[in-house]
Amino acid sequence: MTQAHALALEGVTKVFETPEGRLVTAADNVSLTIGQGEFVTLLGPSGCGKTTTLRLIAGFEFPTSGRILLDGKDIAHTPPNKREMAMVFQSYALFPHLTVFENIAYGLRLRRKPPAEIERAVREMLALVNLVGLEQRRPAALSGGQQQRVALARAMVIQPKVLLFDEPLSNLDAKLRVSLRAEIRQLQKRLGITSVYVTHDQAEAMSLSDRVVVMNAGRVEQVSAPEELYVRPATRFVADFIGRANFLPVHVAHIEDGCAAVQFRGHALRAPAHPSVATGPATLMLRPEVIRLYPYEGGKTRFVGRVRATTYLGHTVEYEVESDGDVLSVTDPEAVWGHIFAEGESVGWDFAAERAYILSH
Amino acid sequence: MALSGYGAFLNTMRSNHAVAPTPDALRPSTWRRALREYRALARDRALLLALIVATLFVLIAVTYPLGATLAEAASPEGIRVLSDVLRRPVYHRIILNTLVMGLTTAAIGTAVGFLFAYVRVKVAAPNWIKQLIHLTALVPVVSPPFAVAIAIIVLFGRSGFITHSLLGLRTDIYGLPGLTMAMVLSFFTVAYLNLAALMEGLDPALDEAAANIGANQWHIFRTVTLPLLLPGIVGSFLLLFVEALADLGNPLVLGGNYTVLATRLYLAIVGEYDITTGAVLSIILLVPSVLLYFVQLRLVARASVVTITGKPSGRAQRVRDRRVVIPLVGAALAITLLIVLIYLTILAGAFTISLGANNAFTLRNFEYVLLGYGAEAMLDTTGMSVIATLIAGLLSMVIAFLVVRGKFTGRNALDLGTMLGIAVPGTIFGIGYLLAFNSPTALFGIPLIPKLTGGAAVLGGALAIVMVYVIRSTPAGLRSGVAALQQIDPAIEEASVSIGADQATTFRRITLPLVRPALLTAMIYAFARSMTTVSAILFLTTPQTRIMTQQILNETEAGRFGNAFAYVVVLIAIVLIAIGILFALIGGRSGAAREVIPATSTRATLP
Ligand SMILES: Nc1ncnc2c1ncn2[C@@H]1O[C@H](COP(=O)(O)OP(=O)(O)O)[C@@H](O)[C@H]1O
Ligand SMILES: [Mg+2]
Repeated sequence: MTQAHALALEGVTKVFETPEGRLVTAADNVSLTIGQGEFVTLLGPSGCGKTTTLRLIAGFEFPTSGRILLDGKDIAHTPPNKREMAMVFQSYALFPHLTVFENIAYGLRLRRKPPAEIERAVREMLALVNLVGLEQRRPAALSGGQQQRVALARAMVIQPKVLLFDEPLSNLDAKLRVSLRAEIRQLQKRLGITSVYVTHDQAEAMSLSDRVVVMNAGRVEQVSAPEELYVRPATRFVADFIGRANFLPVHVAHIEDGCAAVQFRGHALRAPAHPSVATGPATLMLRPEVIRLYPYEGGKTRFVGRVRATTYLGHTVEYEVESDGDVLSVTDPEAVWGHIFAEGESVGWDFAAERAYILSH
Repeated sequence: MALSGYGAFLNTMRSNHAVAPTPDALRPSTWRRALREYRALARDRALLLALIVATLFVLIAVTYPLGATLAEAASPEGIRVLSDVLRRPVYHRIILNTLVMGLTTAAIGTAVGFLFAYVRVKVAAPNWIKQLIHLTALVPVVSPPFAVAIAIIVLFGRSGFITHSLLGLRTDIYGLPGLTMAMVLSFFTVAYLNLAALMEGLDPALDEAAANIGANQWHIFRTVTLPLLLPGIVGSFLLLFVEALADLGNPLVLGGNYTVLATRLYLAIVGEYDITTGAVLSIILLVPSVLLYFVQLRLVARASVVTITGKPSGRAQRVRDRRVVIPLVGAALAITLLIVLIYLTILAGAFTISLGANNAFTLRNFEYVLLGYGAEAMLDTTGMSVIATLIAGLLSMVIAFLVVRGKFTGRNALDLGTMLGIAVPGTIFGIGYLLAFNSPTALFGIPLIPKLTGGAAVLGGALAIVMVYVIRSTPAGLRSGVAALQQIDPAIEEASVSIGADQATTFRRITLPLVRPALLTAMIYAFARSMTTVSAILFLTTPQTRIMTQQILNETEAGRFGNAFAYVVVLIAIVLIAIGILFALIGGRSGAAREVIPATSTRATLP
């Protein structure tokens, strides 16, 4: 394994001018640090600036302002071919006129490696990505999954300082996506190459990454480990984008040890809170599966509501529950095996406060 | 530590700016943006070099001579000549002649092109007929423009083989009728290629839909086919009009007393040494030509966008009604026969002492061309064409790359400047080169360009001629290069760059192999065009550099048709051999063969 490299973006902003003369801030004051050998994913809806950020790192775009540091050296204005990175594209972007072998060998030939070394390195890569026996084929004679493995091998064989991926699995069917993403993760860990991965697919981001960067409208919303992201989202946007969430207004009385004491519908609760939360009005975030429904027993349950819609999905049941003017999304996998509430039925509901999360707005 | 903290602070300040953009405060002024783009581009030396070479090429070889012509026409003397031209009836006559000739040629030429395209694509006819008319329509691409004109004189002139020997008539073929015939047969190929491509792109589902709702063939043609093809038809008409206006060879050989702008212009330069009148007439010719040329480019481009919409579905409906098929196929075959007859005449004429008068077999004509006086012209022309082909082939791909992939202000200007090389009639470049390069060019006392034309020119004027060859053939290559590059995923080139190749290496090892079919097209076109070009180089030949097309013209004017025909045959043979060689060298296994004929919407024929 070679020495891994660290990457940092400091206040990187990219403003495009569209052909019509409109200005688009595709990356807006993006700052993040990526450790040696770390796998970081940029996640966000289409158009939020993921590709732009990745292309800024690759050097296909140059920032309007800000710095990009590779091992502490500013490379923001270094041409892409001098950055010693490698990119894997959604469209595979294999060289159609070259064989699989020559595609993979391309970067090594550029570096004028001796033929024996090229031969050895390419064979090794071919074995790693399970393509032995296909080296003399042209890209057009390969399946999508095979093509993307060639692209992966072509990028990895030069031992780049940083490996960049722009939605590399989006053109593949669902099954292949899952198996190839496991392969990517395995290879990256084995070779220890610092990687930045772009996707709009949260399952992909969660399963691949050491840390996930959630982006929205050119800005970084949150940088967290995948486990954090779901239970402790930094903003409403993240909570909504990563899974589904209910947002309810609460009043924060005081904060202590990362937990907030709040008043919610006349009840006092203590729930974990985001560091930005201060006393005063705030938002209670509840995941649909955190809410439990009970048969209505008049005054005995903490909160009451009425089922507006019931959707039976096989592995779970989804409800829409109206309560005090709010409409809650609730999922109950247990209901599959037990009682299913009917539309129009009155219910009581509750939740474990430690599974709720308080957001600042 | 403190310093990097300060840097971060500055960055925060700067990006805070961007968080709430006040658009105008952020918008870089145009020139500052342009400067930044060039700086970004200059990070790659090869890219910068390519841009500089391409820009210099357009500036020196295209715009400078045009500017010189404009300046001459706008000089006080030029203004005087212009008012003279606008006043004198003789010039009114010439302008009217030019318009009539242009309109007639454009109308008939487009009609013939449409007929050929329709029979080939839309009519149910035997395959051999379709192949025959297709190949026949392509012949003018590889032959010098006035080959047809000379054959027409021999066949239909005062002592013509058909009109006199067979029918006993004494016809006067000189003037509008003969001229129109020669021009139509020389130029209809572009209309045919444009329209055939558009018809093939028509979605067959449209036909089927119309047929399904019970429309009959004529109704389908009128309400579906024709409206969709209309921009293509208008575009072809304009292109042919511009071609006819620009043509010099045919009017010189067949015009007789029917003077048009191009011949008047030629006379002003060659007969009267009056370059000012030449420049003024050039401008009169230039304005409509350039305007209409770009209008037709737009029209044809729009037409192909409308017609070619993804994968064609369904099966095209062929016209089967005999009352329609027989007259259409008959007419197309009659014209095909005429073209075949014309080229057979050329071939026969090359081997006879004097076709019509003395039909004895001889090899003397070829002796003259291959071993005698013509040998030098043959070698000179071929050599210069080879050089021009290599330059134009590479240059057109480089410019196409800059235009399609480049991110810099002015790439549209580069495209446009290159296209001027063909949008402007060749004769005007002839005059422009005389005006610009007949004396050395200096800027602020620094000599920049040596004398390129006339006596004592650099390399006997060969440099100027090669430059003209290149500017005339690069536009077609540019268009096919642009079309090819637009088909290639830019990520493929980025992949190469991302793993360490610079732009030059990427261009050489990735882009060029991928656009090989377009390169082949560009080079075939460049060679054929250079070998057959007349109008642009008539003023530029010197005693040291002889050009085959000029020799053909000289022999024709001297009435030595046998020699002229032998020249034409040799010239066509050279072009065909060169195409074969280019195919062998570049064609390879790729799909190059399909794209031999110059891309639609470039001038495929030769003024
Ligand atoms: N070259 C460009 N010129 C103008 N606007 C651009 C350019 N590239 C991207 N954009 C704009 O920047 C925004 C972010 O785009 P992108 O980074 O591709 O988003 P994502 O990859 O997250 O879908 C979009 O609004 C897009 O239209
Ligand atoms: Mg993207």
